[in-house]
Amino acid sequence: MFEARLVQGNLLKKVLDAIKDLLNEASWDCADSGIQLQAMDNSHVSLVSVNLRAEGFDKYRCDRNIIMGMDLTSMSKILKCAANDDIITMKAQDNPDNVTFMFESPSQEKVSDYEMKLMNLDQEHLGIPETDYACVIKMPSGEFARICRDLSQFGESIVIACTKEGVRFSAAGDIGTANIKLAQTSSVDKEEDAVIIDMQEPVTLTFACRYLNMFTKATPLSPQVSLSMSPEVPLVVEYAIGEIGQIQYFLAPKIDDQDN
Amino acid sequence: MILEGVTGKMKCDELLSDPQEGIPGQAERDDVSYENQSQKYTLWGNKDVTRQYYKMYAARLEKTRPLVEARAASKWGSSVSLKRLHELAEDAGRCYIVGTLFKRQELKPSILKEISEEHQLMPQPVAEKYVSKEDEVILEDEVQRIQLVGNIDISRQVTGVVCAALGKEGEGGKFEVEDLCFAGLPDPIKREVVEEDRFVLLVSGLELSVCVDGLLPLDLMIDYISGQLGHSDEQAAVAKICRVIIAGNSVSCAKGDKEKPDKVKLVKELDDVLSQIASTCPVDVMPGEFDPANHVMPQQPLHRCMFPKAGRYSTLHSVTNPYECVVGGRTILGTSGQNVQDLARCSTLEDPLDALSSVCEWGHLAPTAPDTLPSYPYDGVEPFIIDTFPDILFAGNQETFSTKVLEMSEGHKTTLVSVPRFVSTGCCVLVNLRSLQVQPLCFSASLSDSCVSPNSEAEK
Amino acid sequence: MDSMYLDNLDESVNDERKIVTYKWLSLTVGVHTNVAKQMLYQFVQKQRRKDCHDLTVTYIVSGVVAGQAGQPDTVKVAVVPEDALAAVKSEMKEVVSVHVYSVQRVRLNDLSLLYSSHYDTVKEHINDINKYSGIKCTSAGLRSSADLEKLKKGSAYQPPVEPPRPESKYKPQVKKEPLAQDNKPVQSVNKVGSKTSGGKNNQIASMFAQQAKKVVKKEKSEDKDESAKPKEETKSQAKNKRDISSFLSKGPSTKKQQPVKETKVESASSCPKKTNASPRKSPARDSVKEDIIEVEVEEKEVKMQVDSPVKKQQKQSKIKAKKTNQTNKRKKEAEDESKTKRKRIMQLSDSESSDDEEEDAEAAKWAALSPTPPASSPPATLDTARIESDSEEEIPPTPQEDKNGRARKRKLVNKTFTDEDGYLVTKKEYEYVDDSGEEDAADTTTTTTTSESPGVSQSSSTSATKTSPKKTPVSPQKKTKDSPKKKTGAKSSKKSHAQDTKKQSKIMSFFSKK
Repeated sequence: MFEARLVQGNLLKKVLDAIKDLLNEASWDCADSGIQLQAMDNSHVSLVSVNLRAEGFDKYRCDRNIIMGMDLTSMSKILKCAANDDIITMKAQDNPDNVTFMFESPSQEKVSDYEMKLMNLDQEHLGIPETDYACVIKMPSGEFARICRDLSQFGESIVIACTKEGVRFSAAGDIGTANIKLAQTSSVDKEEDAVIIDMQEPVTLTFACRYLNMFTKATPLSPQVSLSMSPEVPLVVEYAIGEIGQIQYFLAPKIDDQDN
Repeated sequence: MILEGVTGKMKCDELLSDPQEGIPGQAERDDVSYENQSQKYTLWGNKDVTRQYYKMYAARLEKTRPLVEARAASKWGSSVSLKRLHELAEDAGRCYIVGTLFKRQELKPSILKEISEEHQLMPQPVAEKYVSKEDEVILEDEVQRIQLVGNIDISRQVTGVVCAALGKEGEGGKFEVEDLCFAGLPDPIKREVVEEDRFVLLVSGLELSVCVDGLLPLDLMIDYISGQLGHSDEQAAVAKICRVIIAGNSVSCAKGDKEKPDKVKLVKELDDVLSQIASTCPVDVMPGEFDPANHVMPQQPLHRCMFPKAGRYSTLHSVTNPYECVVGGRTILGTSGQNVQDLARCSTLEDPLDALSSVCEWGHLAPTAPDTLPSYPYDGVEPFIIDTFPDILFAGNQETFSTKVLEMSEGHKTTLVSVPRFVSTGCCVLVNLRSLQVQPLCFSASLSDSCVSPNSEAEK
Repeated sequence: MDSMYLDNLDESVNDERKIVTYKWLSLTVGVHTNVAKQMLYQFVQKQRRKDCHDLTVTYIVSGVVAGQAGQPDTVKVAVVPEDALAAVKSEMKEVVSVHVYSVQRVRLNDLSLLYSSHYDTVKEHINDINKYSGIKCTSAGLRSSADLEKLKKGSAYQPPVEPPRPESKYKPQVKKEPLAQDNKPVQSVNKVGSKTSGGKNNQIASMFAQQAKKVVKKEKSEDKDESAKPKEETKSQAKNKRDISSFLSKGPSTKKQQPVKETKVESASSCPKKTNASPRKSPARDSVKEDIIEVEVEEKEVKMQVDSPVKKQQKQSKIKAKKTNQTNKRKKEAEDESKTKRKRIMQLSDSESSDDEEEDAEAAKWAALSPTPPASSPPATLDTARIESDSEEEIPPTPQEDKNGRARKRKLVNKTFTDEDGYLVTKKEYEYVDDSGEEDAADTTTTTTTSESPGVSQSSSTSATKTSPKKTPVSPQKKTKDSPKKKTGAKSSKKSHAQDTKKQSKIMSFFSKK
């Protein structure tokens, strides 16, 4: 039997908001260590990986490793029924056909429970090798979201170029071109407003705006976002999920096909 | 011509004087009978483009065959007989066959070649002219075809002409041609022609564009037609211009410009130009290659909504391309030049007058439609067959002005006019309806003016 | 007025440095154009007499230029600056008129400035531009507004007249060669279903309405063994069972064969029933125009017809053998079954009268049925019992449209179950799976008998530990339809010049499956 109780229910809500636009269905792998989700979007251009550690839950019990395939749209609908301050509990039997979501209001006066059918989904887990990224940028997530949104008005793709001077986001299109440069912040009041660039070698990669804008749906999860890039390697956009885990988005870069 | 007799009456320097008392009068624009005969070119409400083009060729052959047969019979006499292609045998002897010409040209763009390009086979060379030495001419009737060789100038023939070929079947299944005969023009209808000098002004290729440089000659032309220029006698003479026909390309194309011209602005300018002309003279506007009208022939009239100001005048008529009308008893037939340009591409008939003569000889306004000249797929009708004898046959948007009187075999004469592009030559054409005399009218506004004759291009 | 204009001219030319053309003057002062020309001339003379020689004048010369040999004379009208006037005049055979065009203080390097100088004034006076000209045209009247309205209506868009289409000789025929069909999901899938979701009442009403029509049913349906698939029973299916009896999908079927892989999720189009049905019917039927109204009996129970390749396997398989249309001996049986089955499927056949009557009778019987599970209503015949349990016919299930609006799609799915003899059978079937993954009905296309434990999958699905419906490429395409909708549609139309040459690589090329 599996049970996971999360007092900060809105974290789960936000996680669903962050992934439901990218994925239609995915499997939640529940094990002793916690809950994980890994899925590619339909076009197989991006990959989402969510990790919620067991320690982050107030109550976590997982007798057997179970894989729950869910339709994320339905799950999102169910989670919308939870208020932001509700305590969310996920329950399932061994070899489950359904999963139960229970929402308790903080004052315990209102308790709702929802049962959702599970799906059998093909497990297409990909192995993500540990990579040393040539360039890791930590910046305010709102800033990143703003940049992606602004630049996507100009073109279909954003070029992220990281050099010793800082990171530059550019886009070009019919209207014209746009460039946003961010330099490492020297001193900030709040740690989360800092822009920290950790660069081994300069990297320039091009990514599709569409996906970046979907990734930035995770902005409410964390004030900071981390972008990791290496040449010819997918970009990793990582948001922390409260204290309980993280969500990583991998996006394959656009490659010049001149050598075809 | 138009200004004949004007100089005699008044000193040319009349207006180089102080203003007199009294208000000078206004000459009355002369009126003349007018009938628009272009109904067969209109397609409104009848646009089924799912048909195949063969129906158009079938209609063409069906309608032209009797004309050609009659003419051939009268030309070659009764000693030779008409045979259908399937009746031909090697020992058939001299006879004549009737069918549609098809010219096989390597350089002609072909859709199959385009498709093969997609599959990375041999790409097609882009050619301005499709004529080459290896072209062949084949005669097709409803069921069969046979190649024509012999006394036939292949470079002057084009696909789509219905003709009769006199000769005999030769070796290798080819037909050795002695002579060709075409449908020609129908007999002219007797009409009452205007008795006084009345003029029609033909102009084409105004090609309004954002560039202001070329606009002064146009301004002069408008002023001239409206009677602003010249002294009162001259203005009275100009009042004899009773119709203006604008033969296409009133708006310029975007060729070569980095910035495509804003056609909406240009059409607004055109509206102003037309309202200036229409307020003083009946004007017919034909669409041309660059105008905002449909691409295929026959081009439909430019829509009324494009001319909010000029459209208020009852003198503005938006007409089809090709355009046929009867003005003052004279039949005027003409196009904005696409048919002539296409003939020049497919054959050596590069001189517009040559092309127009061939058009008259063939009795068909645009034989290359729909092969290389895009055309609407007609079914059972063929509007490009010339069914009324034109007194004046014009083609707009040519490089230079030229004119010629063509005498047909029965002694009927038709005047061929090549109307030059106004934007490059500053010339338009005046046609006297009574005498069928043609005269160019040039407007120039350049400092280095040196009486450039419109024909100087031809001389070079 | 007479002398004022001179002062005005003075002001305009000398003080404002304006280029004054005769046209501008005529429109501004309101005088006849010829008078304006004379005014300009007078002004110039006056100025010159005052020894003010800063003015430059341009003239209009109109005359006849001799044409080259054989060519007619040209009438030429030219704007010339004063210093070229004599030269131009001398080149003309006859000079008809000369008058002043413009007067200005500045030296004109470009005559097109003359055009721009009165451009604005002309635009202002565009409506009565020729009030002061030398020619007036009485026929150039303004159209009345009534006239304009009429013209507007006349030139308004008229949709092109539909050309008369000849009667299509093609009557959708039931395929006579089931061999032509392969096991690929190109089978005619009944995607009727969207209309069923319109409400039970609609279905019933349509059912009654359709009774009168005569359509040949070509489809056989096969019932799936419910018991063999406990897993796939989901709650919704249970619900559907109640609804199934009310399923009478509306609408004539088109004979299109829609592959499963098509991304059309809307099951609005009703596909033709499996054409296999036809051979077993009399040929007469085939020639008749067929409109098929499919009836969903039970989503779980009905299946698509199978082709002949399956036929053999059917004989092997103990579970819902597909009706083999081709065998005559089964024909009768099949017909009976199909007829009873067809009770639920509103088949309108129109060729054989006897059949018609039968079917009418059946239809009438059906009419009497209330929308309750078929188990309770149909007349007691063997067939009905069979229908419930496992009729040999397959009625293709009507894909239901979700509340989400996502219609079910056929997915090629592995189903494992124990057959009568205790063999575990894994079948590749078509299921209608909607986005939530419900498996409502399955079509058997191939059957394989194994004695292995579940998990041996004969399908091409990969390392699934359970037999699970394979996520076919159908779904991703379907889903991409959903997701892009949520995104800003405008983005897709943007072009990025600099990045035109780049191709989006897939993430699979970086990470491989574990």
